[in-house]
Amino acid sequence: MKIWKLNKDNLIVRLFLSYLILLALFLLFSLCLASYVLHSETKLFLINSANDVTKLLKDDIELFLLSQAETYLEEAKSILENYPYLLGFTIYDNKFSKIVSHKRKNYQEPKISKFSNNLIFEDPKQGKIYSKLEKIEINLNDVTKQKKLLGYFRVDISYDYFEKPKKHLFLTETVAYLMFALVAAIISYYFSSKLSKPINILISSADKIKDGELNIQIKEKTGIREFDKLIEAFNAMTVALQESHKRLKESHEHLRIVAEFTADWEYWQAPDGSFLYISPSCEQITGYPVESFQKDPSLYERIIHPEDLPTWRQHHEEAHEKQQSHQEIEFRIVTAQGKTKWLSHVCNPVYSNDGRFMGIRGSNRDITYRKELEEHIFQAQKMESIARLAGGVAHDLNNLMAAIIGQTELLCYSSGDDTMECQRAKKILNIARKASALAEQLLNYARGGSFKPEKINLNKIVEETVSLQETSLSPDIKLKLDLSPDLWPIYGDPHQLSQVIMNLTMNASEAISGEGCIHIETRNVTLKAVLESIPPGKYVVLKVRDTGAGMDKETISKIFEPFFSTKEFGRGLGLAAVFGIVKTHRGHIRVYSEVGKGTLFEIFIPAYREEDESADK
Amino acid sequence: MKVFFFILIAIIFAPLEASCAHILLVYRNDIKAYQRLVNQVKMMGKFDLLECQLNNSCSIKNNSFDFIVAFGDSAAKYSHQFKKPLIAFFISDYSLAYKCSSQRCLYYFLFPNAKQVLTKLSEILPTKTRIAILCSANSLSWISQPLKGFPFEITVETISSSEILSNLRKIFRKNYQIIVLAPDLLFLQKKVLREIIKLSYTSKKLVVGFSSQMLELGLPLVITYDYEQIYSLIPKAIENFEKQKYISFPISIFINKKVIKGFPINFDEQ
Repeated sequence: MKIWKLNKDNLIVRLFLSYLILLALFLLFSLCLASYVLHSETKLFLINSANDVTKLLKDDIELFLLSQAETYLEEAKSILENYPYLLGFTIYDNKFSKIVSHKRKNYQEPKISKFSNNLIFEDPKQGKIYSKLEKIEINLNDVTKQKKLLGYFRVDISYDYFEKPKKHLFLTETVAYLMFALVAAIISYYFSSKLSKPINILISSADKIKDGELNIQIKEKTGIREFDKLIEAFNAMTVALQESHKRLKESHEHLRIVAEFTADWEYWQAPDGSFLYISPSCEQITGYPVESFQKDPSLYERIIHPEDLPTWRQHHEEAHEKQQSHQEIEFRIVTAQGKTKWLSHVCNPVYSNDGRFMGIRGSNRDITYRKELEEHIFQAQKMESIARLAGGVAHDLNNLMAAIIGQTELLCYSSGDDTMECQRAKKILNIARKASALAEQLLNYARGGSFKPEKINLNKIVEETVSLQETSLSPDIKLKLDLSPDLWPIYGDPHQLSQVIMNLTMNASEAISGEGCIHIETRNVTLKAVLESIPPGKYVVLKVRDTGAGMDKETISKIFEPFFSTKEFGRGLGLAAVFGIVKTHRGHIRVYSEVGKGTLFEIFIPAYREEDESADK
Repeated sequence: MKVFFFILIAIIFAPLEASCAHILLVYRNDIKAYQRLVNQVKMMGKFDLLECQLNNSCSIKNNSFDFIVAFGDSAAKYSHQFKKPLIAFFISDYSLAYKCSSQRCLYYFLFPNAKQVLTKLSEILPTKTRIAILCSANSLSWISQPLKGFPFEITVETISSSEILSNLRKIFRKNYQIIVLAPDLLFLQKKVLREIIKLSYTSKKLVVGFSSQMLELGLPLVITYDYEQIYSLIPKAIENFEKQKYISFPISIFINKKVIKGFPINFDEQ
C-alpha cells in the first residue's frame, strides 16, 4: 500500500493500472458474455439436437405405431446408440399409456408426475436432463386435413452432454486468456517502462531548464522513433532557448544600462498611479530609495516644492487623465536631505500594441547645476555691467577730483596758509582727496586698479596683512591661521592681494557680534574637472571663514555689487573691490553662507606659471 | 474278345463319363447366399465345377464346360458371352430373358412374376377386388404376360422416380382396394417404401409387397418365394436342367396378422 501511494503518479503505474483495470473489466465482461453465450448456445444446441433426434425417431416411431413392425423400433434403438446425448425414449399410445421405453444403460427414467413438454429438470445423480414430448399424428385426408393421433413419444436428452464440453472449453479459454493477459501485462509493463524512461528524462531536463540550466542536451536514444524525434526537438528547443535567452539577456542588459546608467530619474507610472519602473538615479536625485516610491507613490507629489505643486498637478492631470503629451516643465523638489533641487520634467502617455493606455513614461532631470550656473552667469554679467559703469563714473570723477584738488591747492597757495580761505580750501582738498580715494576704489573694482604682478607667496602676504590688522580686531574675535607650508607661488600684485585679505577679514570681523572666530587657510588645489565654472588646473586657494551672522541667498547674490551694504555706514565697495582684484588675477570666488552659522569665502588664484610672467612682460 | 473288353470298358467308364458334367459357376463371392448355394452344388459331387467369382479374378481360358450356372443378374450378363446353355437363378432384371445368346437359357427370377402373384392373390381375395399394379418403367417388363382371366379389376399404374412421393399419394387416393408392388428397386428405397407403408395404413389400402423383408418393414401382405425352399431346390433344378427338365419354385403368401385386421377387406381364412 505504501509503494502504491508513493508511485501512484508514476506513468508506468498509471499505464499498468489502466491496463489492469481494462483487463479486469474485459475479463468480467468476457465471463458474463461467455456465461451467457455458453448458456444460450448450450440451450440452442440442446433444442436443435432434440429436434433433430425427435425428427429422426418420429419417422420410425410413426411407422412402428402404424405397422407394429419391430424393425422400426430396432431402428429407433439404433438411433439411440448413434446419438450419445440421447438418454432414452418412451413411446405412448394415443391415450398416453406407455407402449415401450428404451433407455441407455445406467440411465434411470425420471419420475415425473405430470409430464410437460420441453422440460429441463435436474437429477442429483444424472445431472440436468431435457425432455421433449412429441405428438405423432397422421393425415387421414389431405384435403380436409383430418388427422388421427397415433400416440406420443418422449425423448430424454442429456443437458450435461452439451454443457460439459462448452464448460471445459470456457475453462480452457479462461485459463488461456489469463495466461495471455499475464504475458500481455508483462509486455505492457516492459513497454510502459520503455515509454516512461524518455518521459522521465524529458521531465528532469525540463526541471533543469526551469532552474536555469539552459545548456542541456539529451544524449540518450530510446529506440522509439517518435520519442527520439521528440528528444531531437527538445534539444533543438534548448538550443533555440539558449539563443533566445542570450538575446533576451543582452537586450535586458542594454535596457538595464540605458535605464540605470542615466543621470535622469526615469519612471513608468501605471494608470492607477503605481510605479512599474523607477530608475536607480531616482535615489541619487531625491535621496529617497526607489522602494519608497514603489510602496508609496504619493511620495512623488509630497517632495515637490509647495510653490511648484500647482503647476505640477496641472501637468500631471493632463498627462494621466487626458493622456496628452506635454511640454517640458521645471519644478523644484525637496530632497530627503532637505535640499532644494530643480528638476526638468517631461512625460508621455504610453500605449500597448493593441492601443490600451499603459500609463505615463516620465523623465526627471536634475537641472540644479544648470540653474545655478545660469544664476552665476547672470550675476557675472550684472557685475560686469556694474563694473563698467562704476569704472566710467570713477574715471570721470577722478578727473574731476584731480581738477578740484589742483584748483584748491592753487587757491590755498595764492591766499596763504593762514588765511581763512586756505583753511576752507584745505577742507575742500581733504574732501576731494576722499572722493578721489573713493573713485580709486571704484576703479579697483572695475579694473583692479593699478596691477603690478610678481611671483609671490600668498602665505607671506597673509601673515603680513594679518599682523597689521590684529590690533584693530576686537579682542573677542580669535584669528586662526592655517597656512599650507609648501604653498605654490602665485603671480599677483601683493598690494591688491593684501587689500583682498584685509577687506575679507574686516567683513568677517564686522559679521561677528560678540565672540567669534576668523579662520584663514591656504591650500594647494588641483582641479581635474570644471568646478562651478572654474576651469581645471592648479590653484592656490585662500579660505576665510567666520562664525558670524551669515547671509541669506538674496544677500549673497548682491554682496559683490558696488555700494551694496548691510551695514548702516558701509560704502559697499570692499567686497566689490575684492571681486575686481580677484578677477584681475584671473581668479574665482565662491561664497558659502548660512544664516546664524557663518560665511566662507574661497578664492581660487591660479598657481604661478612662467609663461604668465613672460606674457606679461 | 477285344470287342468284349472294349464294350466292358465302355460300360464301366460310360456312366462315369456321363455323371461328371463340366459346369461353370458364375457368381459374386461377396453375397453369402450365393456362397451357400455354390457350396451346396459342390456338396452334390456330381459335376466337374469351374468357378468364376466376379468380384475376384475370373479368367476362363477355354470353353470346356457343358453349361453355365449363374447366380444374380451380373453373373447372367457375364455368362452370355460364352454362348453355352445357361441356368440363372435370382434374376431380378426381367429383360435379361430376351438377351439369351444360347439356344438354351433358363431363368429363375428372384421374385414371382405378376401373373403368379395375381394367381396367388386370387386364392385369398374375393372377386371384383380393385387392384392396382404399381410399377416403374424399369419393372414394366415384370408384367410380361397379359393379365387376363383374373377375377379382379386390374389397373397398371406406372410411376417415375421424380416427385414419387406426391405421385404415390395421388395413386393411393384413387379408388383401389389393393395395390401390388412390382419388384422394383425404386420401391425398396427406404423413403419410398416408408411412404408406401404410411399411405397403406392411413388410406386403409392393402399393399402387397414382393419381398419377405417388406413384411418385417410393416407391409401387411407379401407374396413371394419361400427362399429356404428355393435353396434346397436349386441343386435339383441344376440336375433337371442337365436333363432338360424344369421345376417350379413354390410361392408363399406372408401375412402380418397383427395389422391385417385393420384393413377393410375380407380374406379367405384358409
